[in-house]
Amino acid sequence: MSNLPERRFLHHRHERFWVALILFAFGVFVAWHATSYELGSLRRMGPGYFPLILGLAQCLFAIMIFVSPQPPSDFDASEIPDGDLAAEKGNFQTKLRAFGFILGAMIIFAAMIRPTGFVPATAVATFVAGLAEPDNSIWDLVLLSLGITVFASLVFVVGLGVPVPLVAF
Amino acid sequence: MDGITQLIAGFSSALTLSKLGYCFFGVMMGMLMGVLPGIGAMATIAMLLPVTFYVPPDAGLIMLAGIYYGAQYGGSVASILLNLPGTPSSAIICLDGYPMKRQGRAGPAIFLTTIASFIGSFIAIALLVGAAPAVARLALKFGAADYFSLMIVGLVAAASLTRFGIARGLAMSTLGLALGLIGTDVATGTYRYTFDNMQLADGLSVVAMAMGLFGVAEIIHMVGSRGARHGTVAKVSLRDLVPTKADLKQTPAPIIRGGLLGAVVGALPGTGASIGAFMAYGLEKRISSVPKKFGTGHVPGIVAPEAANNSAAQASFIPTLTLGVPGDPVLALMMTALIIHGIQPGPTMIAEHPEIYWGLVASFVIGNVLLLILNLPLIGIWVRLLQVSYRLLFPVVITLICIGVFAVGNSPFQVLQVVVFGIVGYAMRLARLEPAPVLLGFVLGPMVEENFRRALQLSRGDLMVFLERPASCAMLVFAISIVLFSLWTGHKNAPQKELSA
Repeated sequence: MSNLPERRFLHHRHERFWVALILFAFGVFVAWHATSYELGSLRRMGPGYFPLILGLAQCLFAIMIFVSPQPPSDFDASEIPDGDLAAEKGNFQTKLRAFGFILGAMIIFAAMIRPTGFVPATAVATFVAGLAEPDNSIWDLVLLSLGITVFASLVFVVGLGVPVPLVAF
Repeated sequence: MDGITQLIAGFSSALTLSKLGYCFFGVMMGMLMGVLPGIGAMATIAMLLPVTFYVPPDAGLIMLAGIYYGAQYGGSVASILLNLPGTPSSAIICLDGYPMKRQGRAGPAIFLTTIASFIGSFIAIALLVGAAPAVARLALKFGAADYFSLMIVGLVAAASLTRFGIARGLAMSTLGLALGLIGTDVATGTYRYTFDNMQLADGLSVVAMAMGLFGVAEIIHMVGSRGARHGTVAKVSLRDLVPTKADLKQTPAPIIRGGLLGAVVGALPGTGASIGAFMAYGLEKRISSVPKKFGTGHVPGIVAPEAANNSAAQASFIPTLTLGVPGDPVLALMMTALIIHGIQPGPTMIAEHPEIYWGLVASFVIGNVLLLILNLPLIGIWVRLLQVSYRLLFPVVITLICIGVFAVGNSPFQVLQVVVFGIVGYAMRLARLEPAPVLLGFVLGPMVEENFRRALQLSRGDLMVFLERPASCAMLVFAISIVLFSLWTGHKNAPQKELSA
């Protein structure tokens, strides 16, 4: 697995440093922001007291990550030897494509659901998400979008009464 | 004996036609989603969460619970046939299940895991009937300090049982607690960390977080990898299921051990089905007279973890419903569903809503029988389902996640939260940070703070209150020993692991 691009990042020898640094920075931010609220005392805690503790704890654990040994490599099913690992090598571009289309589909859904209603948002989101996989033909996706739109409209809007119009223009 | 009477009353509530229907629907969906790799119980529950708003709370809970344990049954099918876990908790089944398939023994493997699931479930049900009411009675005596310490134990346990070391786990629990700060401070009404965005005044959406960190991150990981393009699956018919006499002989003891271990692990706050399964596998291997056989298609290697993940899945309802401290992220989500319905899980729940609690336990019995009936005769259908190609499945899941999250909060903003958590979740995967403690911390966050505040208010700012109360003190000592033990084992194993990484 170590020759996958994403795994290469993962096994980078500075990985521990960056993980610790980002979490440390997050802890500092939480603690710093907490001081803008009233702290109060242990006896009568203000809204800032607990966040301050959490921020400092986060810094402490970040340091712990930095000084503790490198964790064992990820156990997931893709690591169970199967002999065809070479064939399934994903590359950076496929991942980028997956990222873009899947997240894009969700952003489109969020943007469309109010102005256009349920049907257009669902159909477009399904279609765009499907583009994440290069093997999907346009026809596959058109049929898939149609099917899922009809199904979801019946179940969620007609059946359950989710308060959103089917089509709103 | 009281439990038995109550359980019978539960049956009378669970055996109504509509509840049977929800139970059936839940276990079917769970089984289906469990079989399909890459869609776990979490995603299914989040997709169906809006459905529960339109049905009575007890029926909704029965359905959601059915999804959870149904997925445990289904998950092992994919593990055995494809070497791809259908659910995280059945990942360990791959180790011996897939070799069995290669030896042409997929049928018996599926049969034995189903039986193991079934028996494991009943061990947990016994615990739910016998022990849970007692736990609830005990918990009624808990003060704020005890609750605080209990939640710390839950968070530490969840953090310690991650794969990447306790330091990373604790950092993730804390991250979750910190994310839980966003929104209105309950005690003072102050907006915290909202950055003048009024949409954050109610805090982040737990459903959006669960979907992003688990569902979307997993799909991004799967698209373009092996799971998306698996080939054809061998046919398995009813006749192939028959195990050999030798199989049957080595089955009962591991099932009982796995089921008991799973029930205990599941009943602890902060630990869920996956951990139960991993521990059961480890235990079997350690006490086996032939440890070398593990990993080559050894029957105890599939039945023990399978019994454990089912019993743990069901036993994890104990801390969730009696203490209000969810056992794992799926239960955290389910607890949120109950709270939306106005039912606060906790020590008073069994007393205040006995029909919900006992109806749920009774539905476990019914659901497991249904699963057994569904699973074995319909095995051919489940196997064929594995051929549904992931490339067409994931767009549907993405859309259903959008719809589900939108419907729960009726807010497009929460759909955007899923996007953000999807990115964060994928980055966390790469950085080897586990999402489970984040979600647990997020759900527990407000409760941890409230009890911390209240305990110190009552003690007039004296921190010793956490050590003076015996229950609280015992739990804190337990939490600290978990940390020390994890650090010690992590340190001991470090050099060897560094080599392999």
